[in-house]
Amino acid sequence: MARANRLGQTPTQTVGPYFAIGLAPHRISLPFTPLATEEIATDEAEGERLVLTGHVFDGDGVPVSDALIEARQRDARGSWKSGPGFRGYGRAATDQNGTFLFRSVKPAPACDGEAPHLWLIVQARGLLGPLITRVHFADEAERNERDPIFLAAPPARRATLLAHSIGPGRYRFDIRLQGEHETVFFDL
Amino acid sequence: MSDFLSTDSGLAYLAPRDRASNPAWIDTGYRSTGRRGPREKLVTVPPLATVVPAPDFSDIVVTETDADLTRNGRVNGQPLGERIIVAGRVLDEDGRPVGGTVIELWQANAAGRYRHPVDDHDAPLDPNFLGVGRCRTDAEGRYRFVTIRPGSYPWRNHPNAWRPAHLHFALFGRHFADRLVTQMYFPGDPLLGLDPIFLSVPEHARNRLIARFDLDLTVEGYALGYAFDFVLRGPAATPWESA
Repeated sequence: MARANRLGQTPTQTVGPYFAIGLAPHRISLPFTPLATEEIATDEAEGERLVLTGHVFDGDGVPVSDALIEARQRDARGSWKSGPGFRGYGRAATDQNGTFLFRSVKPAPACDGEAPHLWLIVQARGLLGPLITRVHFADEAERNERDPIFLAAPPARRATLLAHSIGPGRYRFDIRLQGEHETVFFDL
Repeated sequence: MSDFLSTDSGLAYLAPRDRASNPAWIDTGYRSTGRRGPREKLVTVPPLATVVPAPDFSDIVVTETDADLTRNGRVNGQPLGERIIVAGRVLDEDGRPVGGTVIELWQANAAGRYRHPVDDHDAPLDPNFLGVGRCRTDAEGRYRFVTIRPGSYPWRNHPNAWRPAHLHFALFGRHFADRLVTQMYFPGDPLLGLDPIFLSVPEHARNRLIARFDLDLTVEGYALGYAFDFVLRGPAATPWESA
C-alpha cells in the first residue's frame, strides 16, 4: 500500500516496437551514440570471460524479435562499481530469431550467502512494464542452494533461473514470457 | 547476512512498485499482451533484492545538443513540424529530487513516422530528425528537452486503431529495480479515450501520463512549453512496508 501524502508513482507503459531508436540506436545504424551496448564488460576488464546468450519466447513458443534485455551484475571481485572496462550494465535487443547476447566477465558473489548471478530486466511490445528476473549458473548448484533470492522462487520453477554451459565461457539462458516453464519474474 | 548486502551498495531498501496504479500484464484491449504478459504471479523476494544499484553513467558526457532533437539530427536544415519544449522534474514518492539521472527519449516525427526499419507507415521520414534525445537531471532533478511535436499514427491492434501523440521516456532512479519506461501524452488529445495502451493504466493514475501546457515554459516566438514530472519510487518505510 502507498503511504499517505506521497506523490503518485508514474505508471509504466510498453517500450513498444521502436525502442531501438532511443535505447539501442547502434542496432539500427542510427547516428546517435548509445548509452550502453551488449558489452557489460570489455576485454580490458579483470575476470573470466562470459558470453550470455539465449532466446525470448512468447506463450506460443514463438521467438520474440523485439525484446529489450537489460543486465546488471557485480564484477569479478564482487563489486557493483564501474572500473576499467567494466560498467556492470548492458543492453541487448533480440534479433529476428528472438536471440540476445551479452559479453561480460563472470560475476563474483559479494559474500558466502550469495551465488554468482546477473539481474535482467525484460521489456517488449506487449509488455506493459519491466519484468525482472535473475540468471544463476547451473554449475554453481551448491551456492545456488544457499542464495535467499534463488530460494525465494518455488522449487518447481527454480530451473527457469538457470543458465547452462554451452561451451567454454558461454552460457545459455532462455526467457519464456508465458506458458509452460514460464520464467520466474520477481515482484520488484 | 542481509545487513551486509544492504549496506554493500549504500542504498536503502526500495519501496514497492504501486501495482494498483500500473497496468495489468494481460490487457484485453491491447492484443499483444495476450501471449506476452506473464500469467504466473510475480515471486515475492526478500528486501535485499531491492538494493541493486542503478547503472552508473556519471562518466558519460551528455551535451545540450543531445537534449535538443531539433538540432541533433540536422543534415541540411531544420526538422519539419511544431517545435515544443518538454521540461519538468524527476522526484521520488516523498518529493525528493533525483539529480544526476539520465533520461532517454524517443519518438515519431511530425508526420507520425519512426526512423526504424520496422515502421512501414506510409508517412514521410524527415531527413533532419532522428527522434532520439538524452538529458541528465540537475541537482534539483530538473530536465528539459526541445523537440518536435510527434504525429499520431495507425497501428494494427484493432480496426482503425490510432496511437495518440506520445513521447517515449526511459530512466532509472538510484536502484536498478526502479526502472521507469513510460509514455507521455498531450492534453486534449481525442485519441486518448480510444487508446488501449493509455487505457491500460487504472483510471485514477492516467492523468499522471498527460503533460500540462505551461505558459512559463513557453518561449516567446519560439516554442510552446509542456510540463511533465516523473515520480519514481522512494525508500521503503520500515524495512519492507509491503511484507
